[in-house]
Amino acid sequence: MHPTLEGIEVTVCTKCKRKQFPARKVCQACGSREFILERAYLGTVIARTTVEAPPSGFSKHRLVYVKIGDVYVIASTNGDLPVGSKVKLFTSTERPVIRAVAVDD
Amino acid sequence: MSSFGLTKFGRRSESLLELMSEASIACMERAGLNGGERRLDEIVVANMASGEFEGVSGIANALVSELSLEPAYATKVENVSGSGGSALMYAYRAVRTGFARRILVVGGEKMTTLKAPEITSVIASLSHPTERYTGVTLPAYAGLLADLYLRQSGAPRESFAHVAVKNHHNGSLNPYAQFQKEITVEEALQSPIVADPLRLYDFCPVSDGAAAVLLTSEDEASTLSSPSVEILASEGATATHAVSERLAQMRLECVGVSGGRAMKKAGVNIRDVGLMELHDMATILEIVQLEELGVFPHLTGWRAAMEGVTQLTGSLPVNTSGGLKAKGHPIGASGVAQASEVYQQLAGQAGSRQVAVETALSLSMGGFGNNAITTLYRRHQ
Repeated sequence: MHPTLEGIEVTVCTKCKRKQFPARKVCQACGSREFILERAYLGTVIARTTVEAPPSGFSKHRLVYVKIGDVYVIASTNGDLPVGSKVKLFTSTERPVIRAVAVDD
Repeated sequence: MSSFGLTKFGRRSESLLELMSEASIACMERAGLNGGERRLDEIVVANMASGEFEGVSGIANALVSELSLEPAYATKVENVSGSGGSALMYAYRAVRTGFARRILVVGGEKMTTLKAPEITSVIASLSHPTERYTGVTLPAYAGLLADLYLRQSGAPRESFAHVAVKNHHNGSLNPYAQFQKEITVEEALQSPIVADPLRLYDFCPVSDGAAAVLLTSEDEASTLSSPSVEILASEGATATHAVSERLAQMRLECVGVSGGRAMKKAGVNIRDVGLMELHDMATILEIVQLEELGVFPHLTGWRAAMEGVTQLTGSLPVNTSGGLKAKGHPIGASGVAQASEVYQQLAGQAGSRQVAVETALSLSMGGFGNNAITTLYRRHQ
């Protein structure tokens, strides 16, 4: 188990304020290369699926698609999180593995 | 486009080189290119991962030599699952602009050398690292898209099954198809879950196979023994690497952009198109691609297969070959196999799945809507 950080790292363009996840070298909206970083923590599940035929190194798992502020992220999860669930996101520091954990409203 | 050649798709014992050779020879012989007549300017090979699947690189050089076509120039085009469409587009542009007069486009993939999890890993390597390391697969993207689509459109789950049933019916009429059997809606709905809500019959299989088409200038076409089909335009477009950035819109924007560019260049309206070969890696993709190309409004494309519009006897037959779903999806071959199907249809050589159309479209897609190539064709006037 690799160490994890709470939240995901969102880049915010200093010129046009566009938020991006995942990070890019160049802003999608204005072409600027200057960003600040901010962490986003809480989001809402808007879709879910299962991975019954996983790739090498993975066992069967569940995935959720989460809206978190102005950005979206696909995260793995242990339990079945219904659409509408409030989740907290965690990112592995080793590789960008993103996990979603249910939080109480 | 002056000829085609195909291997049967499915689990094959031959190597990738042997499969590509089989398709190439069939294509050239059909055009009457035998012996000293076999001069080609270029061979463009479409393939995603011969290195990963077979431990082979330099497949284009190997093929040109296997066919004794030296010193024709040979190169490989890799654009993941859109490799075939990309190779076709580059060859078309080379002929169209006069840089070449005869180009053989050959697509192929030998996938069954690996076990299922390894194959899934090879394919998933096209994904953005934040998604790949989280364990996202191509079927999982489709599962998330389908979940969103069902919630937003109000489509019944059976609408996806009707796409599978239609494409299996078409595949049953195609001697080159991997699956030559019909299935029922009930069978599709009861097949095992792969990426909830999508099931086994919502997805294309793992396949080996190869396809070839011969692209020629108009002058050259008139010297060959096979009929020719005109390519009107071939255009591509891209969308974000991370699928999460665009999934919420339930769209495949690059499909719409490439289709729009191709139609504008060809002077063709979508209503003029009488047949489509789409990239139905999953049933939901055929539905969304129909919407992106402007055939149906957003979130209504699910009605097409249910109401029979896209059947062989419908007003817009889609995936008459059986599509990736039933014909099979040897990744690098698929875009070229789509062109082969269009060729057979427009040249009147499609046998029991023949439909009467003047204009056709093929859509080859790389990744999960990362890249798309739309090609438009017309029956030779």
